[in-house]
Amino acid sequence: MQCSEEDIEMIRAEAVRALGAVDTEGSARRLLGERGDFDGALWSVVSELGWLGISVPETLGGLGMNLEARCAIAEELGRRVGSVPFGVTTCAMSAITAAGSAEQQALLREGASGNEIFTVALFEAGESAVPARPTTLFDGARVTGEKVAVIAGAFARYALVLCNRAQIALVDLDQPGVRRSVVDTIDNSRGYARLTFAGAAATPLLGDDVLDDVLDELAVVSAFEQVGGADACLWATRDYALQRRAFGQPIGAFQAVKHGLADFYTLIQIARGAALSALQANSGEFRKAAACARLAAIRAYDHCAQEAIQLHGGIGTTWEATQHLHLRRSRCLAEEWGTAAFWRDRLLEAALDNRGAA
Amino acid sequence: MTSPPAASTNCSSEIQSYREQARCFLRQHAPNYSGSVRLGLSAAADLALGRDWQKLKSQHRFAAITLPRSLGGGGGTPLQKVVFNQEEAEYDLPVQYFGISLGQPIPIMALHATDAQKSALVPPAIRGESVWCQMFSEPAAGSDLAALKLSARREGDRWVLNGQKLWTSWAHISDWGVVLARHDPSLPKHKGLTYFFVDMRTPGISVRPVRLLGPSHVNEVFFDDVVIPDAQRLGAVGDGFKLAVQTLMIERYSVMDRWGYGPDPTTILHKLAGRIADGQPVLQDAELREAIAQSIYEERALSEINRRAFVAMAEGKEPGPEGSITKLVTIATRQRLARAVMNATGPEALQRIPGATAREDFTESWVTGSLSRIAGGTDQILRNTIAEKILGLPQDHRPDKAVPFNQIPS
Repeated sequence: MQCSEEDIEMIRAEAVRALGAVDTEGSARRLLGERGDFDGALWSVVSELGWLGISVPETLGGLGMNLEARCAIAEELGRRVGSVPFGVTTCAMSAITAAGSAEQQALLREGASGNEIFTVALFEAGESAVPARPTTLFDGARVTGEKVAVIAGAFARYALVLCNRAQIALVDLDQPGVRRSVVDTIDNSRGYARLTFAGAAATPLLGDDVLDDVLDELAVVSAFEQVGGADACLWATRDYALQRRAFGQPIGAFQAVKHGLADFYTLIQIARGAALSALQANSGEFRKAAACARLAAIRAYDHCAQEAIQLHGGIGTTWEATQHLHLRRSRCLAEEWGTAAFWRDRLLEAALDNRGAA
Repeated sequence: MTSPPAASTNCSSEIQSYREQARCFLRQHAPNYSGSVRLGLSAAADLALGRDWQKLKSQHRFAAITLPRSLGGGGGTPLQKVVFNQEEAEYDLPVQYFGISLGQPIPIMALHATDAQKSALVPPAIRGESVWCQMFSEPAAGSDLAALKLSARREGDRWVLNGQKLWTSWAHISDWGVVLARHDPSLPKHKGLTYFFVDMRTPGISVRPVRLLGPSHVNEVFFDDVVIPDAQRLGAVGDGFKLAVQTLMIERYSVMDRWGYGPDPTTILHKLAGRIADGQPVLQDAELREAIAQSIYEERALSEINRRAFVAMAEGKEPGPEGSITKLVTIATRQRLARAVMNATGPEALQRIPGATAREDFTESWVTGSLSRIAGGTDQILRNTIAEKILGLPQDHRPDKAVPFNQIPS
């Protein structure tokens, strides 16, 4: 189903309303000290409103709406530093919808209802980017190897695991051949875990571009989450700059602060423009558009989260302040799904390939 | 605004058919006035070609598109103007001489001059027979325009103008100009200004080109006891600042080149593919890669912002404020890209290639980048505007506010 702009705005308004009723920031702060958990109250909201299945076809228990709807939700979750694996589970489900067998697709019902979480396991030790030659191997039936920094690895039931060259295997993580070790990170609400596969039973996702397609979609959904987070940093800092006085006037009257906030705004509009542009791109252009969205979003959220603390001054560094939640989240979102350097390579490769489509 | 890829622009069929008309006109005529036709032309010959192009456009209602037909304009909408400018920008036409003339002084004349003045002066400007300049800035009044000093002393039904303007684009080819002057220095600075138009051949006006660090079309204009009739005043005495702001706001939806009038970054990807420096492919240079990527994603984002603004205008709505970041982003990135390309290619990049322009050559783009970050709104003023107008932050402290101009400590 194609969504009109009005549909998207309705979904967004619903998200703003529903998220306003949950203490997302309190949960994010609490979860920093609790390894291996996520925001259950928020997850209930996300599940009950049908957001997890929003892109899952109606025949498989979802709402069958397009990517745009999901991105609007991701943006609002990002704004509230929501501590739920919304982006990854929906993108994994979308890959299964596109490239999964009937048997694999049957699992989507549990995902759409929120009963089971799906994740994507890409990274390996010693690699800064998505590995071009993974050491994790898949022989068509079993997976052997190790993945690190798997988001939601602590609590996901299913993982799409990058194996061999660019193959994706679907693995049920609740089996004896899989060992999870949850690691302590700068943002424990993400549920990062190391997953060790010792001949774990697995089935393949079929198609030539499964990896690239899922990466592009993750990049775009994540970009909206980043835009939401960056925008929250902007307006919180702007409000603070109007209220806090120093040297006889609101600090927001000083150009150092005004120009700093103007830069937030500029970076965010570029990030939002690039992300929206990806939603307009045709399939031939989507690779390039997704890379643009990702690069602009990383830059915007990194910058705004970091400088929001700076412009708040000392108070922004306290545990009670929201700023460090964004700081942590911004870095997680910058690392998950490949760093800026990785996406720069993808963008330049795509730009060299289809110069005409610029 | 940057120009969006026209084919993907989603808009009503009415505006689409206008775009088709524009394309059809341009396909037929533009090649006779652009590209190789302009190669090697003297400045005078290029201007003459530009005048011919302007005349042809006016015959087809593509000149001064938003001005009334009764004055020789196109009688069209701002959106049609944006569309035509997008399409026209696809050709390298000699239109630069008329951008300010038809973008600022002439629309203000159309709004504020008498009918007799309008019918005498506006149509020839639209046909390219005359050129108008805008004389606002002065040596000590740029971003702070209301600090200008050029004086206008009233003598009966005449005014006597004395002082100096600076950064006046195309004054050296202009026949007429609008000028902002101070009629009463005992009033606070914004209140003591009055707006006039002058024949540039009036005795006492002298124009001196300013040589810049790159190609220049700007001048100093000196006013030495220049006498003009009161009939050449626009608006009321004391309304000068208001009219000046109106003049600058006319072009708020103007089209900006997608690469900030610098080279397309993808050309460098192709040009440097396979090139080796220090035993490494030049394209592996991290700074260069980052600068190219940034140019590409920013251009894409601005195109989308522009597309949405376009759709909003087509639906009769006001576009969002985000288009105001365009110049700030595009020019700074163009400068950064040019530097990165020069770094990646090494000292050979210091060489100037005769005839090369900032449009296609990274060295020239680097040279002129500094100019572009100041002209038409400095980065600092643009940031202030975003902070105040969009984010609602307070104005800077202004010690000269409400103080009589002649009592402001200097």
